[in-house]
Amino acid sequence: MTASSRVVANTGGRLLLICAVAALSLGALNEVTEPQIEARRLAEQQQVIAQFATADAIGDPVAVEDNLTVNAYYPVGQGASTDGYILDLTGIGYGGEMQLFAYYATSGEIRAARLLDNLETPGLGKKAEGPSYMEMFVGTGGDTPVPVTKEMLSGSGDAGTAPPPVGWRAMSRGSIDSWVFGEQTQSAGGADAVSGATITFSGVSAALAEGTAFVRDLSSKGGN
Amino acid sequence: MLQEFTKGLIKENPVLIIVLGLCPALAVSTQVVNALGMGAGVIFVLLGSNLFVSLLKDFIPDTIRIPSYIVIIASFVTIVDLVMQAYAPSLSKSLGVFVQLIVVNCIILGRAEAFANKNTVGRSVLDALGMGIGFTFALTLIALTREVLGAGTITLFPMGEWDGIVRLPGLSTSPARVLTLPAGALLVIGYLKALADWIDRRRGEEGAGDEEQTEVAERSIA
Repeated sequence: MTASSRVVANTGGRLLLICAVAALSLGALNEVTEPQIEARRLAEQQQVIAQFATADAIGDPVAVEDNLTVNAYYPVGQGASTDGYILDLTGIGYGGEMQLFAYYATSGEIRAARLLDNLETPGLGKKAEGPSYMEMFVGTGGDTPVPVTKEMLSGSGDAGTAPPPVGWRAMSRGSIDSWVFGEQTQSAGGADAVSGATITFSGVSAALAEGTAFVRDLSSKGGN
Repeated sequence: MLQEFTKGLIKENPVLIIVLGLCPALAVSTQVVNALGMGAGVIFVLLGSNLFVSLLKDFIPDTIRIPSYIVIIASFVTIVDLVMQAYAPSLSKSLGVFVQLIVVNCIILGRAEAFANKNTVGRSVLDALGMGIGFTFALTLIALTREVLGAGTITLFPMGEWDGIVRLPGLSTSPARVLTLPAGALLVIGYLKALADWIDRRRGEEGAGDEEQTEVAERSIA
C-alpha cells in the first residue's frame, strides 16, 4: 500500500467512523420518537374525522390504489345508506406534499376540510392550517365549482376561464407553471387568505377538486 | 474567558452586526413564538456542534473537516427535529421546513470553522451559548417588531385555556400588513441593522473619548 493510499484510507476511515456513530445515534433516537410521532399523527387524524361526523356514522377506511391524490375514503351514513365520504387527500404545496382530510356530500359538495401534515412557509402557506382558511371551499363542488383561482374566490372573474385541474398530476410541468404562475398571479381580484401563498392555495384547491371528481365518480357507481 | 460569551450578545451579534443567518431570520420572524422556538433549536445545535467539533478537532483531518462538520451539525438538527415532532408537535408544525434548514445556517458552520476547531471545549461552549443567545435575541426583536406592527398581536406559547396570543388594541384592527410579508422583513432587518450600527459607533466614540480623557488625566498627573 502506497503512502497516498494509506492517507486516503485513513481519512476515509475517520469520516466513515463519524458517519457511523451519527447514524447509530440517530437510529436509536428514531426508535424512541417514532412511535410517539406516529401516535400523534393518528390521534390528529382521528380528531379531525371526529369533527366531521359522529363516530358511529363513519365506516371503515377503504384504501384507494389507483389515484395519486386520494389515498383512502371513509363512507359516512347510518345503516346501509351513504350520506357522504371523508377523503384522505395528498396535495402538492410550496414545501412538497400536504395531507388533507375533506368531508364531501355524495354530490361532491365539500362540507368541511382540514389541512394536516405539510411543510408550507410559516406565516404564509401555513395559514391554510387554520379552520377559517378552508371555509372558502365549504359549499363548493356541488352546484358551484371548487374555487381554483383568486377571481373565483372574490367572484369577480369568469370561473370558466380556469377549469378545475382534475387530473392535475398528469399535467406537464410547463402547463402547471402556466396555470399556477400565469393565470393565478395575473388575478386582479384577491382574497386576503391566499395572498403571498398562491402555490399552497393551488395545491389545496387542486386536491379538493380532485376529491370532488372522485366522490362524484364513486357515487355514480353506487359505491360505498 | 467570559468575553467569549458576551461578544455574541451585542458586540458581534450574528444577525445585526456580522449579518449571518439572514435566511431563517427573514423566514421565521413572522411570529414571536417561531423566533423563540427557532432560537432554542439553534442554541442546541450550536452547543452540540461546537462541543463536538472542539472535541474532535485533532481527530478530524483538515481535508475532510467541512463534510465532518456537516455530518455533526446535521445529526444535531435531526435530533432537534425528531424531538420537536414527538414532544412539541405544535412548535414543529409552526416552524416547518426551517428546522431542517438549520443545517445550512451559516452561523453554525461559521462558528465551527472559525472558532470551535481552533479553541478549547470550554471556550467553544461559551462561544456557542453567546452566539446562540445573540441570534435568538435578534430574531425575537425582528419578530416582535414585525408581529406587533404587522398583525397587532404577540404570539407566545398557549397555556391551558389561553391561546397564547396577546391582541393589541388598535393595532390588531388596522395593522401594517406589509411587515408580515418578506419585503417587510427586509425593511425591519435593515432598520434594526442601522440602529445596531449607530449604537456600535456611539459606543466606539464614547470609548475613544474615555481613552482620550484618561490620557489627558494621566499627563496632567505626570
